[in-house]
Amino acid sequence: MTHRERVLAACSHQEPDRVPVDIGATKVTSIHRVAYQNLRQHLGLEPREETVWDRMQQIVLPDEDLLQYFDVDTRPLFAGPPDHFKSVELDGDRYRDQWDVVRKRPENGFYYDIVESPLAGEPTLDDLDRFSWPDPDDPGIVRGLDQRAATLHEETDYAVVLNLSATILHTSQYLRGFEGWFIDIALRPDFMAALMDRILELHLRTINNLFREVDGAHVDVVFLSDDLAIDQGPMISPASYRELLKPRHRKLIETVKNHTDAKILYHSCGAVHHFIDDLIEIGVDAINPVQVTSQGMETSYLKESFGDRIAFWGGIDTRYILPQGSVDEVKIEVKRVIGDLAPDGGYVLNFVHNAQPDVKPENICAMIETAREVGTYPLCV
Amino acid sequence: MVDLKELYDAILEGNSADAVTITRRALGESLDPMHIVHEGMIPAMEEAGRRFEAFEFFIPEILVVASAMKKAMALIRPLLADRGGDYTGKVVIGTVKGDLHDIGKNLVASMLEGGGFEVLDLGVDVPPAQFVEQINTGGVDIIAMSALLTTTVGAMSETIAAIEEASLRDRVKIMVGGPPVNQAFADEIGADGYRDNANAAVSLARELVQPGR
Repeated sequence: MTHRERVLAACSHQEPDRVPVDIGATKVTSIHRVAYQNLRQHLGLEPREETVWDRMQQIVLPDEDLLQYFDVDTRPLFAGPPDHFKSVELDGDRYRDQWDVVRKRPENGFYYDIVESPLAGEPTLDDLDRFSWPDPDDPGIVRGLDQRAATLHEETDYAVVLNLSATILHTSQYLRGFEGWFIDIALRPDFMAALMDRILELHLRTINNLFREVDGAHVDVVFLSDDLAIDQGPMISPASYRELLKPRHRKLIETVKNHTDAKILYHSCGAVHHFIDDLIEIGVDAINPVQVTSQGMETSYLKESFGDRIAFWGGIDTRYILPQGSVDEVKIEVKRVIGDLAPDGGYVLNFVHNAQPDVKPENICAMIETAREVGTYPLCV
Repeated sequence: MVDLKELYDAILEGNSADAVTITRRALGESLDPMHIVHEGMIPAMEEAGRRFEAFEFFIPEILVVASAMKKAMALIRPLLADRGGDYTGKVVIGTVKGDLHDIGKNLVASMLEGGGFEVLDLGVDVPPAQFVEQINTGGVDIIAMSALLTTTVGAMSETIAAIEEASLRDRVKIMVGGPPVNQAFADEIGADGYRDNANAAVSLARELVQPGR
């Protein structure tokens, strides 16, 4: 089986030859630059400066030598930076992004977090008209993307994962600021709907622009992301989700499906099991990151309840097991998760979210080795 | 005559404007401030907490309840300050060093204020020395620390170490919270308590300042 066939079989609920592995196909399945350098050093790979793929999260675009070392099955495809906007550097390790959101990294911090939101306070519909929205037609976004997609699809046999930075919930949250956003959801849902519509329009235009360049047949998986849950349960009520987010996510996915038969991979952290039926209904094929430490996210329960209708992508705990566990504990956990999620296909192995700075390199190695040992079909776990 | 059920409803709906108006009217009618708190406000917060734990309320709803409660409470607090007997305690709260996340911390702070505590919020990215300085200032019953990141929870034990170093550990109770924290971690670093949600954090704070009550 080729790498691509392996991933597509798993996402189609067929048993591949072995459990496919993703590292770095998306901005939530990669590695923080600190953990990445630790891993390279541990493996004795040639020293080289990492490519930071996402500044906010400080994660890398993994180098090809590392991906080949682990025989990773996926490769990322992603839009380019706009020609007409560059992040504005500010003092105190802060920067302003194209949404006018300011982020800061605390002294000795590992990430950038929001310190200023452009629509904080009590914005009106007029403020939405006045706001300087990013330009979805900026030529830089799609430049060269058709060729990159074609090369990946025709000259390699990896599963090509197209990253769409098309969050509705998060973009509206960043623009409003967290507290204002939550208050709008409760008290000003009409304003929130208007804000989300503006964001949706922009994303739809970007998606149509991308697929005007990229041949849909060159894409195997399309990745979308919007966190719906926290550790203990839904981030907002299921009623608010169904009113505000579900119809807009449905529209995003429909638009993608107009252009490609690729599998739809959707990311939401936390106890997302409350929403899996909704996600299946709007066309999601695989769910990431399977945050096993969240309430109700036991892998056996997930497989039993949803496993015939949705595939799981992630599942190896980055909160306790990979940073704090011993190599033996990692092996036991990987075996357990594969035993729960991989029967009849339906599982792509990855960390639960990006491997953070405290993840031990020997544990990443143990994760991959165990996946090879016990993840060969027919499974014997 | 003001019906405190209206205050209860206004707070539960997160209607700050109504909650403030009704509280003002009640005080204008010379209702005992403690009566307003016990008959209107605390029952509303308890009901909100119950709904939150029963997955009927979520962060947006609980946040607007806490905000309405806080605004109504601001009218009451000056009147309680002279009385002493109903004083619940003072909490110094903050997100630990290296961490800029404050939504959970703000919610706990609002709920504590709604629960009658005096709350001093030190904000985010708070170095251990700043917590120590506050304890030195005096009158602090509880230090409450929050962290969102697995990579910043370590600052909680650093803060506790700094408090011990300053020989102030027996002067305060310490409570911790945030996604990467659990009871085992709280025990390990020598905190006095941990809860996984804002509502439970208020009960914990009460237990810590008034053991056995």
